[in-house]
Amino acid sequence: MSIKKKILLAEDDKFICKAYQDGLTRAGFEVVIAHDGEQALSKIKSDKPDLILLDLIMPSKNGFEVMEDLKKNPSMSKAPVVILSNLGQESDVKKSKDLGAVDYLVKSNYSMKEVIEKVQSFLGKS
Amino acid sequence: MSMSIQKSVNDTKQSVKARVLTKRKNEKLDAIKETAQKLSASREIERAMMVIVRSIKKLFPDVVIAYTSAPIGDEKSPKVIYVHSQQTIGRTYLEAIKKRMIEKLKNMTYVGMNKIVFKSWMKDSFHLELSGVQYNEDDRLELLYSINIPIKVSRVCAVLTNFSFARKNMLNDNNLNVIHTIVENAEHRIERLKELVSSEQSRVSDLVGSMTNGVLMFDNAGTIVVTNPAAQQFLNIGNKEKKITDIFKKIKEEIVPSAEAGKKKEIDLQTQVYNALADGKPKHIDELLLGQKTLEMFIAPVRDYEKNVSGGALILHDITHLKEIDRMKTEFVSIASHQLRTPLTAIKLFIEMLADEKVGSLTKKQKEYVGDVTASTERMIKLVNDLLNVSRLETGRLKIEPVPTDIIAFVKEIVEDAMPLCQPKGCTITFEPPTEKIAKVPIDAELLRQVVHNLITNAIRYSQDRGKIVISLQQLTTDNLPVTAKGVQMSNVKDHWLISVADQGIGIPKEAKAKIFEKFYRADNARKAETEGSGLGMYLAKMIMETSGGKIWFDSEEGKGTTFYVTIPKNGMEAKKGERGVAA
Repeated sequence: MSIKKKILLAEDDKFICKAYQDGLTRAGFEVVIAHDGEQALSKIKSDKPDLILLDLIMPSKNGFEVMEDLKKNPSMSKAPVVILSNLGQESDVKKSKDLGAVDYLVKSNYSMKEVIEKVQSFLGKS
Repeated sequence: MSMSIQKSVNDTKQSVKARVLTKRKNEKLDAIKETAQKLSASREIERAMMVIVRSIKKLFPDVVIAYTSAPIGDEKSPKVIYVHSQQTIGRTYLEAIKKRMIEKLKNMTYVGMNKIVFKSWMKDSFHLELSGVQYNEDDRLELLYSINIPIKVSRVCAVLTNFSFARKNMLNDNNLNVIHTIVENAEHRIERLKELVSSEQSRVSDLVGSMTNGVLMFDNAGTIVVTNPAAQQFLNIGNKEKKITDIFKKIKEEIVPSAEAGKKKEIDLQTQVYNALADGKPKHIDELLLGQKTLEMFIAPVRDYEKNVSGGALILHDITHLKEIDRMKTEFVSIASHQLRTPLTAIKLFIEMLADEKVGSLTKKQKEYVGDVTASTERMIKLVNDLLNVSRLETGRLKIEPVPTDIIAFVKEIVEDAMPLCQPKGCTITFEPPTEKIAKVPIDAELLRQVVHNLITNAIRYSQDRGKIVISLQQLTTDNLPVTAKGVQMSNVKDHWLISVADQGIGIPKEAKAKIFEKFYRADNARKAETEGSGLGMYLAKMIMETSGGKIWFDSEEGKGTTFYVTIPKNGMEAKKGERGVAA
C-alpha cells in the first residue's frame, strides 16, 4: 500500500472546507485543515504537505501573505500551491502566479471531480 | 431744331461727366470698403497700416505716406518713421515730414505713456525707414502740403500718420476727405478689433481661469506664457517656474497602461511633448503620477494665424478621484462576487457528492431533486459570472485576446456540446461548415464560445418540439450577404466571417425586437416558454461582438423562427487590453 499524499487545505468557510475535505479524503488523500493564514503557515511547517490548496480571503493572514512568507522562506516548503478562491479578477490571478502559485481555480466554476483531477495532476508531476 | 441738338449734346456731355464722377466716387467707396474689410481681418496695427498705405497709394499715386507707431509703451520704445512713396524724394522733403510729425507728437496730450517719460523719450531723434521710396539726396521736391492724422485706439494715439503732397492740384477737399475717411475707418476697425480681442481675451482668460482642468501654454522657446490656477495648484508652481522644462522635471512617472496593479514607470515627458509638437498632432497620456495625484494629460500643439506651430499647451485632468472610484468599484465587484460565490460553492460541492451517491444511494425522487438543485445552483453561478462580466464590459475592462483558431472545429465543438440539450424536445441540430478549407482566424475562443453557445442554447430553449436548428459558418462575399439583415451596414461586414444560428422556434415578437439586446430584457413569449434566463446573455453577446469589431443581428418572425447572425472581422477579433477573471 502506497503512502497517502498529504494535502494542506487552507479554507476559512467551514462548509466549503468540509466538502473538499470529504471529497479529497474519499479520493485517497490525507487532508490537513487550516482555517486561516497563520494556521496554514504553521501546518505547512509541521505537517510538510505534498500540495497546498490555498484560499485567498482568510482571517489573520490572507493567501497572498501566506505565499509571500513561503517565498521568503523557500526552505519551509517545496509543495506546489494551487489557489482555490472565489476571487476571479485578472489582477488576483496574476498576483498569485507572480507569487508562485502553479494554478488558480475559481471555486464556483470547478466541480469536486475537476479539483481532484487537478490535484492528482500536480502530484503526479512532483 | 439745331438748338435742341446742341442741348442734347450738352446733356450727353453732362451725363458722361456725371457718370465719370459717379464711377470715381464708387471706386473710392469700394476702396474704403475694401480697406475696412481687410482691416477687420488684420490683427496688428502694423498690418493695419500696410492696408491703409496700399489703399491710399492706389488712389493717390503722388501722395507720400509716413507713419510712426511710437507713442505707446515705455522709454525704450523704438522711434521709427516709416515712409512710403512712389516718387523720387530727397533729404529736404524727408526732413520736412519728420519736422511736422515731431511737432505734432510734441503737442499731443493723448499718448500711451507717462507724460514725463514721453517728454524724455521725445528728446532723442527719430530714425527714418524708407519703403518703396526713390531716394535722391539732392532732389529738390518740396513738401507743399501735409496733414497729420493720429489713429487713436482706446483714446490713446497708437499711430501718427502723415500724408503729404508735392503737387498743388492734389490739394482739394475731396481727396483729403477720402484720406480722412480711410484713416477714420481704419481707426474704427482697429478700435472694434481691439475691443473684440480684449473682450474675447477676457472671456477666454475667465474661462481658462475657472477651469478645473489645469492649462499651461508655452511658446517655441519653451517659455511658459499661460498657466491657470488649476495648473498652478496641480504642479505646485508659482511665478518661479518660467520654463516648460521646469515642469518636465516635476513629472517623472506614469502608470504603465493596462497594468493591473498600477505599476509605475519612468516617463520622458519632454520627448513626448516635443514629438507631439514636431508632428503637429495632439497626444494623450493616460496616467501620470504627480505626488499623491494621478493626472491625465493632453498635449496639444498651438498654432499661429499662419497655422505654424508656435508652441504647445498641456491640459491636465485630475483623475485621482476617478481612480479611487474605479478601485472601489473593482473592490466591490470582487467582494460581492466572492461573497455570492462562497455559499454557492458549498452547495455545488455537496450536491455533487450527493449526486455521485458516494455517501449513499438515492431514490428516484431524491435523484430528481438533487438534479434540480444542481441546475439551479449552476444557473445562479452563471448569473454571478455574467454580472461580473457585465461590470467588466461596462467599465471597459474586458480583455479580448484573439488567438489563431480553426474556427470550423471551434463551431463544430460547440454544436456537439449542445446536442444533448436537444433530446428532451426531440430537436435536431446540424452544422453546415464552409465547403473549402479555411486558414486559422484569430478569435478569443472563450468569449466567442460564450456568444455562440448562448445563441445555440437559446435556439434550443425556444424551439418547438422536433424543431430543426441549423448552424452555418461562411465568409461573407457580395453574393451571399444575408438579405434578411436589417439595420446592418452590409458594407461594414464584407469579408467578415459569419456564423448563423437558425431555429424554427417561437420567434421574437415585433414589439420585442428593438429591446432584445437590452440588459435584463426578456420577451413575453420567451418568459412564458421558459422561466430560466437572466436576460443578460444577448446583452453580453452584443457587447462582446461589438467590442471586438464584429456585429450581431437577427431576423425573426413570431411563431416561425429566428436566425441570429454573428460576424467576426476578416482578420479576426480585435484585441483589447483589459482584465478578465477566470470566471469568464
